[in-house]
Amino acid sequence: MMDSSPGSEVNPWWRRVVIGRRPVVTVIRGAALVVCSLILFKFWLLPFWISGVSMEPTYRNGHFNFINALSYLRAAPRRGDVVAIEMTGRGIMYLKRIIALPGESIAIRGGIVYVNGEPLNEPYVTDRSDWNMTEVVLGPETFFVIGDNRATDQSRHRHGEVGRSKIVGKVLF
Amino acid sequence: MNVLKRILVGIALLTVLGIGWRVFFPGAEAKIRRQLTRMADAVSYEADASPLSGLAAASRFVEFFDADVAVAIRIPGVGQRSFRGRENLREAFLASRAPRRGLAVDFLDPQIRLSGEGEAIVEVTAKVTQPGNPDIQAQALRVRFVEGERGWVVSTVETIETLGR
Repeated sequence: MMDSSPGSEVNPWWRRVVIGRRPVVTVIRGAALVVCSLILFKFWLLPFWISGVSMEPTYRNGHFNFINALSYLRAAPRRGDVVAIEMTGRGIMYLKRIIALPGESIAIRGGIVYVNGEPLNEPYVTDRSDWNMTEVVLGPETFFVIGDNRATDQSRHRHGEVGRSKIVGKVLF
Repeated sequence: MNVLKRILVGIALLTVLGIGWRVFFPGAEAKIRRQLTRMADAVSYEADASPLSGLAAASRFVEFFDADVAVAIRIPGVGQRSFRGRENLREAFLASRAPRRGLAVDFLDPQIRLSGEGEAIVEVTAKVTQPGNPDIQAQALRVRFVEGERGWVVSTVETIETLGR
């Protein structure tokens, strides 16, 4: 059987499905979608894979998530926020939790974090090793970040002070 | 239609010329980026690579450095390591390959500042992975390149502590 109706050869059904009735409009829609996606995922929601165990058990190795790069546009980072910290760029970033804010003093004794001399309640930490750090007072625009996994050896765990400018945004989920 | 075609052909020609110019006459930044890629290739190796290939790689690797190169880096879990000169660098390179577990190194996000005649400061993140190990090691580095007869070579390497104490 052959379909001899006019138009069926010129514009077959599969072509209408893939390209649409008006190809120019489809191309413009496609281009707009690409541009919107680039803006969305380059400047607002930055997709990333978690690699490493530094934030376990809250964030596990191999999981996927987004960083909201606009989260601190109007508000300052807060204690307890899990944030991405850039190194020399955004190709690879640290994922850490803010535990002390600018101007506060912080110390670690026997695995317990003390902020302004008071022990910090950290329900997200399930296992603690005997970490120690002498008291430091944070400067203006400086935060103290650390991972949730405190079971590892302290010398192998990256934690410390970070400037506001290095904080890219807050983890979305 | 003819005008549109001419414009398109003109744009295509300019694009090809631009790409060709960059390939055949790369600027200092492009040359330094290329050096970083070559260095990453030289330091990366497959698991169970032969010691002989390690020696060859070491000879290739030290060629990227100035004879009096100064290295001061902090390795997590190991501590601060400092040495000077290509021979010491060669020894450190061979020692790093001794476990023969394999290593993949990438230099990401290079920020290149050309400062003065024949000198550049590059801040770059070294990403290190090992086969079978899900953990990625990353370390920001400040690398000083100088331009000499052999092109751009590394004169100093030091770690940048993103998370200070």
